[in-house]
Amino acid sequence: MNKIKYITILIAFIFCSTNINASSNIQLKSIDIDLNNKQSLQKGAKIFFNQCQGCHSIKYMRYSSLADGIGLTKTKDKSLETVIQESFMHSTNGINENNPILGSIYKKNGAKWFGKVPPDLSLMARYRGQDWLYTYMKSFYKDQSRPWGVNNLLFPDVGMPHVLLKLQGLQILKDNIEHTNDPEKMLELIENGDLSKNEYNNMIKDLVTFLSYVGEPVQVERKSLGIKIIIFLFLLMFLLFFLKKEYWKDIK
Amino acid sequence: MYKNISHNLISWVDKRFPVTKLWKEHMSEYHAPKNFNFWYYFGSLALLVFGMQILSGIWLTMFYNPSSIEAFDSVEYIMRDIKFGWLIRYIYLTGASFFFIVIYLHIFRALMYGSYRKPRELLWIVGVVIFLCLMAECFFGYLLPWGNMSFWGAQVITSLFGAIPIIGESLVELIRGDYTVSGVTLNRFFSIHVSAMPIIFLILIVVHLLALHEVGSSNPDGIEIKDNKDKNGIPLDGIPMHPYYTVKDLFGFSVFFILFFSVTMFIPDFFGYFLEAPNFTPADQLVTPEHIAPVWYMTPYYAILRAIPDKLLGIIAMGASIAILFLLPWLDRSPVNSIRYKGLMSKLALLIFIISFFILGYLGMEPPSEAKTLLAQICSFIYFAFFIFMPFYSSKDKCKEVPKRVK
Repeated sequence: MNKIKYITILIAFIFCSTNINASSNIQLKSIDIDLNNKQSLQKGAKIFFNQCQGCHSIKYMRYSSLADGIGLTKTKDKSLETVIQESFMHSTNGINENNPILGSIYKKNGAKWFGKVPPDLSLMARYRGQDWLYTYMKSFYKDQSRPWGVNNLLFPDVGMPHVLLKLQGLQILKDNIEHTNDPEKMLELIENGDLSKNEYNNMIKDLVTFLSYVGEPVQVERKSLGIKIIIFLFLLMFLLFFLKKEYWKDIK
Repeated sequence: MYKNISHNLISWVDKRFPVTKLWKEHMSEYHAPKNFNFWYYFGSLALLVFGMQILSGIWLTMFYNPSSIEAFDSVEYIMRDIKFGWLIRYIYLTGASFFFIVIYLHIFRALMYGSYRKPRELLWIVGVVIFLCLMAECFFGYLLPWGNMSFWGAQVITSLFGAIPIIGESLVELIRGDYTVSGVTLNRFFSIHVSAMPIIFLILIVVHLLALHEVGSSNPDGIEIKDNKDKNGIPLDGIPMHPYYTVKDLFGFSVFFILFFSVTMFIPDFFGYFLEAPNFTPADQLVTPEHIAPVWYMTPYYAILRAIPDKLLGIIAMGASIAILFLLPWLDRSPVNSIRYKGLMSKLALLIFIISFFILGYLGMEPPSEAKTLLAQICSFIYFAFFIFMPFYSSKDKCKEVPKRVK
């Protein structure tokens, strides 16, 4: 009896100690994304090419495989270059369709202007997670002490300016925020942007959907192949079960 | 006609190489106890996973590039540009974790049914060496993707050797081939991972199987089936490995594959336990991940290491936690083999041991805190107490009577 008590105390002990560590971080907004939604992917790609690609590359992604993955297909009279150019207003001068998608900034300048070369975003969704990216893009606030006039709740003293400031508007950090770690309650919009709050949220969601796709382009294919494999294995399992039974029936 | 040709061919070979003899000895006339239960699947499953790792590993090696500049990129190249490269890599990745799951269950089986006891001491010792090999293989392999966690994991583990007095510093340099983990380290780890270790592995597995087939398999009742033989010298409770256990293990393989591919195809990173988020950024000497922890299968030992405040003593404790396994056959003084006939004390000891092992595994992943360190110390104590006090509780325990024949 004593030993059972001991184990219970031990287990209770672990759970207690986990809870102590759980707080003190900024709470991430969780979102559901749908990688089958090609429209969302295309909108996200457009945001990436318009707003992010100036500094950030997605160097593990090729133009051609991106176009395939997000449902842009070349037609008889339009080459892939034209499709990319039309969808993303993106110049394709000197770009082969199999080239990796690089940013336009020189590394040297990036380091000089931002203190750090802007990171490649190919795997950012896998590194940080979709919830982190979503919350990050909503957590910029005014901070005059920073070179770009903004800071970020999730990534304090981040080198990146608030690129979407014009769209979101300017947020400030509220005064009494000791009791919350919810970024929406900690920040307040003081200047409206071009987009409403809802429109901005949807836009960020599209961007995160796109980056999640870029993080692992094969996700959708992987799961659909997975279902076929599992069905096949179940059939195989039944077959082998009866084979085993047949062989073993004379073992007493 | 066809039968005649194959018969002639076999007898041609038999005159030159004992193929039929080997087949009989190890398959069709190797008699295994008929009462194997669920826990006896894991030996053949370990062999299966080993084969899968070798095959998928060969394919990955075709495309992987072991240089500090190219390694990270080449992994992404496999994931994106190679046809089904992602599948091979995920199989390999899931395989590493499943190898440990299977081996841990295989070891737990041995603990439960006393498979390490006389006359199987050498079988057990070879098994523990294979387990050590597996850990070394995974440690070397973990550096190869050249992600930031790979880099810092290797940095931390290699630095442990620095705590050894006098030779420590130069030993670390010798292992790394540099003053810090670098491209040189990557090259040598790659070489060891894909050539040296697999060869050692293969030899040890063959030795393990030869030893097993010499002494015969144990069973859940812990009764030697060789004690009851019929007039032809065949154990009364034994059945030929082939076809009985080959078809049974095939069924086991199919169930295993369902679990395996459920992870591979739907949750390949297994919530960050099989594939950690920091490893999606390339190795960076200047940026330490927020929290460095080994992969889940190493964490119980890592927790023992950290439980002791002194670095050198911690390393000794970690080494001892594996080394003590070698002594197990001589620590167990119970009159019976199997947990089925052992008394309450042995059963409770095993239960508490397993629970504390799980807790250690959990603690090894967590950042340390005062309470957690204390808990890790308690669990490390239990871990060692299980072995150290075994001669006492196993001999004093009230055992049930063992039947003459297996059920």
